[in-house]
Amino acid sequence: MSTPHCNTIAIVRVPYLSIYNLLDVREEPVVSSAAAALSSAGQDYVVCDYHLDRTFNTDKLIETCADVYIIGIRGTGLHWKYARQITEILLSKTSSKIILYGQTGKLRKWENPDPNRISICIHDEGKLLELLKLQGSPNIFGEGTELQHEHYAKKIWTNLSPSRRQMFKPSIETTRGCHFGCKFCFINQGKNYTSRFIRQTTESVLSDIGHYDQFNHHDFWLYDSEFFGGVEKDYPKVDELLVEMGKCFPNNSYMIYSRADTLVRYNNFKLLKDAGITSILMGIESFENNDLQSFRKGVHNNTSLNAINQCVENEIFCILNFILFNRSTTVKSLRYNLDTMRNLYNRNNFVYLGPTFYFSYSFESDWKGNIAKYTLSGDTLLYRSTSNTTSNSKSVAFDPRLEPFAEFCRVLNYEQIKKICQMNILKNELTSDQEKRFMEWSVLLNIFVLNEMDRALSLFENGKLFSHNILIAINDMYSNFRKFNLLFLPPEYSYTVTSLDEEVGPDWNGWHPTIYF
Amino acid sequence: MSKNKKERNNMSLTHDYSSTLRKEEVLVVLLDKSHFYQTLKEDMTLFSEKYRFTLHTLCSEDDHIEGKKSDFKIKHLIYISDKMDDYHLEEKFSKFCSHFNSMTICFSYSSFLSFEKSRDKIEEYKVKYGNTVNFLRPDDTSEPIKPNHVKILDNSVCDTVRIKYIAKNISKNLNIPDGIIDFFKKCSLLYEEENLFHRASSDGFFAFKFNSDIYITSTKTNKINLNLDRISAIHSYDPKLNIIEYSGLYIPSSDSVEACTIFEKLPELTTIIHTHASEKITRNNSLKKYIIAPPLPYGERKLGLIISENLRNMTDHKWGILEDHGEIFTSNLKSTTEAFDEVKQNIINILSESAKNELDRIFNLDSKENIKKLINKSGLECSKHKRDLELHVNSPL
Repeated sequence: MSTPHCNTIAIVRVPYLSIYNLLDVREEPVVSSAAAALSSAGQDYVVCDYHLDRTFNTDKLIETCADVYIIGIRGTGLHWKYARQITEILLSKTSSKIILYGQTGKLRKWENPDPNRISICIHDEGKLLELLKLQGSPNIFGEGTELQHEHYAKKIWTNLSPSRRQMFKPSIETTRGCHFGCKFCFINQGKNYTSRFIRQTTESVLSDIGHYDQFNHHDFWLYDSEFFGGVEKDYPKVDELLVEMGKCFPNNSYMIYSRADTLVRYNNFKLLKDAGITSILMGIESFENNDLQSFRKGVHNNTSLNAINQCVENEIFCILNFILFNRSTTVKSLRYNLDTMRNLYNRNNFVYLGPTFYFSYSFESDWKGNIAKYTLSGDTLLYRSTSNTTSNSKSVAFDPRLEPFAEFCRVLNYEQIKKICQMNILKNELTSDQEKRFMEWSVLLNIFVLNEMDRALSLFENGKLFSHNILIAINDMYSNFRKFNLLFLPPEYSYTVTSLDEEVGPDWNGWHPTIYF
Repeated sequence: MSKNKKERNNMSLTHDYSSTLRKEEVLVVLLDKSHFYQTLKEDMTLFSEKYRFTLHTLCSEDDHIEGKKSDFKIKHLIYISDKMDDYHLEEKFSKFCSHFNSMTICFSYSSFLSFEKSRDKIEEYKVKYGNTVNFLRPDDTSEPIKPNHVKILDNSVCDTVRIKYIAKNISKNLNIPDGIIDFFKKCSLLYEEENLFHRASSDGFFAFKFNSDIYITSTKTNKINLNLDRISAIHSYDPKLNIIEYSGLYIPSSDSVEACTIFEKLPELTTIIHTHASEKITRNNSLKKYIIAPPLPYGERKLGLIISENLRNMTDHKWGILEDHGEIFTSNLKSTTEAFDEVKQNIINILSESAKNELDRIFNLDSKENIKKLINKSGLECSKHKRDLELHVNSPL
């Protein structure tokens, strides 16, 4: 594609969460870094953010009449699925150029339908400006650019409801890429960045934080693949960043992404706390060492437990991420994971273990597809979640004989998340006493969910849970859920919010298909 | 109390049980202030004659205590009271400690609730007096709840002369095959790692039958860091004369009669591991389905007969709980390694079932009291960053 210096550029952030999920109000660093690069070259842009601005739709997208649409892509979840759909719409309804920009490594085998109009660009601001034939000094990540991320949401701020504005969290990168080569992860399965791992300079990160700070935003997501990195000799740079963060912005709080082993290796929880790190999203994947080996994760479960325990002891919230249903999952490994998780919650201060919704249902995406061996029965709705995170595969990565239990987990997880979303939005309407009970509910909900998983797994272990009788187990779960809600929530909010009868379209997790265009 | 317990012996070892104690070496003093046990004194007198110990009975703490100036090797007090709330209890305990090597305390309680309320205090005493004092758990559930008559009787033997059989030593020399030594070492490690005892790390026994001999730990043997000299070999048991012939330096386990009976009735059996995992297994209500023998006196043939009969009828597992006593795990496998592995797997399975049941109990969300406990335990009230509890939901990785 030959793209001349253009008059109008639209940066598009695709939708990726169901409409009921209003809790995640973050900018996308792929978009905010592209925005900063354009600004540095003196190029104006419009923002089309389906995620932040829930009033945005495809008609409005077409109305922007941009010469070039830069579609920001993240490699996870449903981003690519919707990026592809939006690309198809733009191809058919406009004559504009399209740049698929960001974590595009996954697209290496994608058949570009119109190479004259569509370009693919990895997450590198220099390459983006080059592609756009824009002059200027591009923001090279890791080379000390003054401002890497631009608070683009301010351009559409009035389109956000007051409650969403209140929940807004800046999301910036301190690193890009990852040293590790886990088999389930997209990052090193294709080229997404100029180097395998890049660490931003302390000055640049502080500059970004300061940029958002001036807009009175103080709760940050440091949206890296790996905050610490795998090279121990670089840890003084992490020290330096954390010290400066604590010194320059003492009232801010941050969530970081980390592996368990790098966190344990870094092992300076005091500094993390002093810097304002209050939560760590940790990719545990599984407590079963066989699973971890098959992932080539390079972590032993003892290390994971050590990292979790250290976080809890240091009063740092964990957000534990799992791939419960994976290529080597067995009934035994499910039991091991569940028992380990339950044992973790049987410790003091388990509030710091965080939520269980990344545990209660999560599966490994099937990239290769072995339909003959790994196809689901079709007797459940499970396929709706498993067949949509990758483009073509109709099969699953895990043993399809686990389908009854996986289906139970899917429904449980769906109700868990949808109810959490509902109650978090409604909590402003609660009295202080009701809010206290709500907080108790949200903490014990994790135990409730683990108990329900345990109940269903026991049935499955004993040969009593099948696709044909799963409705009994699910109805019991709904009934138990309502009883549990009633213990804490006002009666008018004690109902369950999902149902097997509802019209569920083919969306991620089989969830509500209301990602509107 | 059971947490962090490692090696623990309930009696100061005033005797190493390398020989049978003589009657004049063992004093049991019975001080019953409860009047619940009408025939205890008479029955214990019979016991003292049958099992060879000297019995003195007292009516009050102020009575002259014979044992103080005597040459008794073992001086044991059995104190029975219905007054757990006695203000002078600690004072009395201190006085008793100066007279006796060991004590068994039997309290009665007006109700189960009052027993539950007293548990903390009892635990406090256990910590304070350590291994010297044994508090007999009430198991007679008719109010007032109290330890049963048979249990108290048995205690007069258990904490003193130990054995109910006649021990006949054939030889002090014993050559134990290497495989069996290895078996006992592994049992010892497992016993320690899984805390398979309650009152003392001398609880229970390990036994392996090889040819016609039963290799068994001797009585009052610390099972942690097992001293291999304390393994004996039983050559024969005569039920009519109640005589056990053995070789080795120490008298075989006080449960040898049951062991010999089980091996006799189930000739294919090679292995018995007897443990006292009281909290995790024996008294775990959720495991009651595994009980294979009712509360019965230890060290007697009747118990062995009931156990073997029930084991014979089992198809799916080779172990069971002896109510209010302990549990036994068995194997038919001839290889010591395979037999140990089988027993170990059964122990791990049942401990895991026990742990799961315990978690189910702790995580029971139907109970308001439990919910309150869980909220307190969660740390929610103390959490400094409540805003981080505002749950984030985004797409998966």
